Amino acid sequence: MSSATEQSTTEKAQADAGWQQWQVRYFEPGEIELIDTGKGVIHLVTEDRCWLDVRFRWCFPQSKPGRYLSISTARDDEIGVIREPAQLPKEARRICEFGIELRYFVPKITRIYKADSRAGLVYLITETDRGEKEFAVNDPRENILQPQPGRYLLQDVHGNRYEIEDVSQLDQKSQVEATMLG
Amino acid sequence: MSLVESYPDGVRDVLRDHGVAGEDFVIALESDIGPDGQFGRQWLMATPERLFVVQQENGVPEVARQLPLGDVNRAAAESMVGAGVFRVTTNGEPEELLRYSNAKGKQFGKAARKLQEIVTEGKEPFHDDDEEQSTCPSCSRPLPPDTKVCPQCINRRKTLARLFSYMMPYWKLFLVTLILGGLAMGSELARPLIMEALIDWVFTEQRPPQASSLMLGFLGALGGTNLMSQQGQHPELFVPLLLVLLGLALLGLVNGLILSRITPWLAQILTRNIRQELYEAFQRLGLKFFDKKNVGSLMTRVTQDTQSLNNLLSDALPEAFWMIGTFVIITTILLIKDWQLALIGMIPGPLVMVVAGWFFKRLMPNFRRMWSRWSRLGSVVNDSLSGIRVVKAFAQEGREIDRFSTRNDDLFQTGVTIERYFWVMMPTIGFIIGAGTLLVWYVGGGKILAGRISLGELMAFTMYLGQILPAFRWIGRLNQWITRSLTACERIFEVLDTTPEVYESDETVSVPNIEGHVKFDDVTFGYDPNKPVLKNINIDVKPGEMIGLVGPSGAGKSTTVSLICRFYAAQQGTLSIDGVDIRKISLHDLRRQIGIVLQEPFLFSGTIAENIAYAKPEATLEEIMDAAKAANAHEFIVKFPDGYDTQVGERGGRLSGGERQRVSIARAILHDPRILILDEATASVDTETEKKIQDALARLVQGRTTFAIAHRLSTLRNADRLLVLERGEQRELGTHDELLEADGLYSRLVKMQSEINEIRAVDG
Ligand SMILES: Nc1ncnc2c1ncn2[C@@H]1O[C@H](COP(=O)(O)OP(=O)(O)O)[C@@H](O)[C@H]1O
Ligand SMILES: [Mg+2]
Repeated sequence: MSSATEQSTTEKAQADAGWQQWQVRYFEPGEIELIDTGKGVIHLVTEDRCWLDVRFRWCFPQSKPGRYLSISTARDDEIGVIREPAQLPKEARRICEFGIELRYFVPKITRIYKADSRAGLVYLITETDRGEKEFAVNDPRENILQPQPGRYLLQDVHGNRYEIEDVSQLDQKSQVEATMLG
Repeated sequence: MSLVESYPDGVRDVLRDHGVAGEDFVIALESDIGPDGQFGRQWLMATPERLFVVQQENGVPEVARQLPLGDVNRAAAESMVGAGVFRVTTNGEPEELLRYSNAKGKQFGKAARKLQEIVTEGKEPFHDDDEEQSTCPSCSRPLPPDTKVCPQCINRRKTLARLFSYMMPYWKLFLVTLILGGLAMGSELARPLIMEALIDWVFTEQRPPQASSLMLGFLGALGGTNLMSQQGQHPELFVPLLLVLLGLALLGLVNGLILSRITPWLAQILTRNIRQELYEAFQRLGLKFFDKKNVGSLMTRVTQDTQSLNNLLSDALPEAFWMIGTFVIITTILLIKDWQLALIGMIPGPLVMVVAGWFFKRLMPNFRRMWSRWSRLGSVVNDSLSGIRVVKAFAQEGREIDRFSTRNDDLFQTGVTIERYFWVMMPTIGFIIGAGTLLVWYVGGGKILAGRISLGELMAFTMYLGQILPAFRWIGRLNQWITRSLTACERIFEVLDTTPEVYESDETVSVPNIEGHVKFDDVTFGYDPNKPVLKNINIDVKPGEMIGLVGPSGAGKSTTVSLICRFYAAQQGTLSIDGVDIRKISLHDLRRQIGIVLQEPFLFSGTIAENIAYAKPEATLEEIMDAAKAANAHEFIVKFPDGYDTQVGERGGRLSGGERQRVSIARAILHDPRILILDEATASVDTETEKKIQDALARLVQGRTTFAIAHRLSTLRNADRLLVLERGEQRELGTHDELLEADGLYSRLVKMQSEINEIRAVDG
């Protein structure tokens, strides 16, 4: 068997099985086109083919928000990564943001009315950028993270997420209540 | 969990305008996220014919989307980060209908499956699991995971009653503690009265204006005279009264000694019994129970929750009993003696409660903060010490020191805050009590001067106040303390009340001698029913046949074999052994005849012999050795100084990976199963050892139905047939040669692996 055919066999296997890609494929801003069907579904057109119903995910949602956006198929095979979504053309950027918006639902807490703890749970009554919300966090050590000083990531008992971008920007009362978060 | 929730009249009305009557709904779910992405409401409603999304326009419900179900090909609830999306595919085109937060995820997942069932016309019915509840049914607040006990609304009386039911076998002892406790309280409360008598009758002749007849009778009996008519001092009462004080002290001592033997014993024995019952319950529960819970939180139940129960019994309850008892009695005595003075004396009580409450409200979050910072500091230390080799290898000592120093500073800050609060709180409360006492002296002193009460009475008064006022500091906390313990208690009862894995039931069929005919008939299964991990698996395995399971990791190989062990039950289709639905086979019979060898074999701490004989404790030493020999383990075992009596350490940590593996194979051989499962049994060992294990396995699989999972396809060369899985789907099934011939996924995998092996051969 010539080495060329062997090469192509391997490639075919990789493409089909989709579980042995050796390198991340990066898309340059002009290289791709996004199509919004208007029904909450987005298609991707690359130079070599068209991908229906794609998904968006941040690679580093916490440490590098706004950069490295991974696009994958509905079956979760990665198609490629956009380094700087902000550099996409306007329409593509809008669709991108819409796709991200679909995937991430992380209300930002703007005010804490009350935080108290009972039997190992922390109960919070808050105002978020998505409306008022009352929720409970279990096992605060696991579910309340402080990736940077002042920034909190919370996950409630249902697996819903919330974020306090900077606790020192909240009002005085909220800051006192935030003591409860550890 | 019902798919038809209650919905507002407005929704009903707007759908009636679309010709749908309320009773037609098969799905009526409310989402907690509105169409604008804000927290809000919208509804997914479905009849057997049509699907609706109802949204609110300025508070007025409107039908935003409607679809004939006939057009729907597929319905799915997709989970995202912090929320989920309900999607349908109509005429081949996908579309998003609505979003919901994870709190609603389960309901919408179920709704998607229900729709799927309707559109496939019942061809894909699903066996529903008993879903976990995530909000408290009575107060609808979120529940902590892994439990249905709502800390907000546990029924304390019921929990206490149940706790007392554990006390019933020891009711005599319990009665004794009650009586002794009562006596101890009596002797404690009598002391100020004796002091009063000493001052008023012995040291001075200040009679109380209306001395109680009880006191007079008591003193008269002591002195042997009728004191009513006697005036002046009574030195003859001096020694007897001191003796009474001594007697009370002795009574207190004896009481204390006896109680100190009984109470802790009683508390410990109850805790012991409950802990035992809890552990036994754990052992009887099915794997599914453990799946969703982490070992840590279960450990907590056995250790901390029972400890907290013990605290409740040995500290909190007696303390509460004592506090409430003395409080009631003393208040009564004081009110009878002089209600004005009593009320004045009590003034600091509520004040102390309020002040202590104020401080605790600020202290508690700081305690929590302190606690969590402690554990963070602990994990930094733990991390870097257990990984010290890595730290040194990468020369990261400086970074580790920085990390520690940050945590250490955090801890320091919180510690200072807490200390400050304490240093302010204690003197403040001391001052309030002191000021209150001064007030009593002021008013009481006036009354003495006016001749309305005696010095002794005032002394007794202040002594009583001194006994109860400090308690006000804790009264506010006591309630929380008891609630916390009762919640722990209730969590324990919850486990006790969980239905255990049923080994036998009415429908159970006994299959004492399994032949080994395993049949998957269109089996679909997902740990989360929304996300099938295995889809429509079909395979008919003859007795004694060896099936190799092949596929990328995460394909569902291990899941397939867990179904054979009935660690989980399929949601669709049937899995049968020897023609009997596996759900009906007695678990005892099933597990007794299945043997498993895993990639990471689990050994229990104990000796090698004990581990080999784990499934057959009655095995003779020779049987054990035969099994070890067949597993290629005998030689290395006898080389150990302690031979078969070598302690393997926790999780078998003192043996190497390959040795552990061979011990676990010996265990399987001794178990002599009819159905054998090898899950990557040779993945984590070197080639030399693999060869030995291969040999051992070859002996083991003889004449048994075997399911073998292996990454190295060469390992499966003995397999009669291969089942190739990818993403839970059955891609190929056939013999090695057939599959190579078919030139599908398997043949590509084989080619890729042989390429890798060629590279290895060149490198090596
Ligand atoms: N106990 C579990 N709970 C939830 N999901 C699981 C559990 N075990 C495995 N999975 C998931 O099921 C899928 C199949 O896993 P598994 O059967 O272990 O794959 P394989 O053995 O083929 O590598 C994976 O996506 C895995 O994450
Ligand atoms: Mg596996």
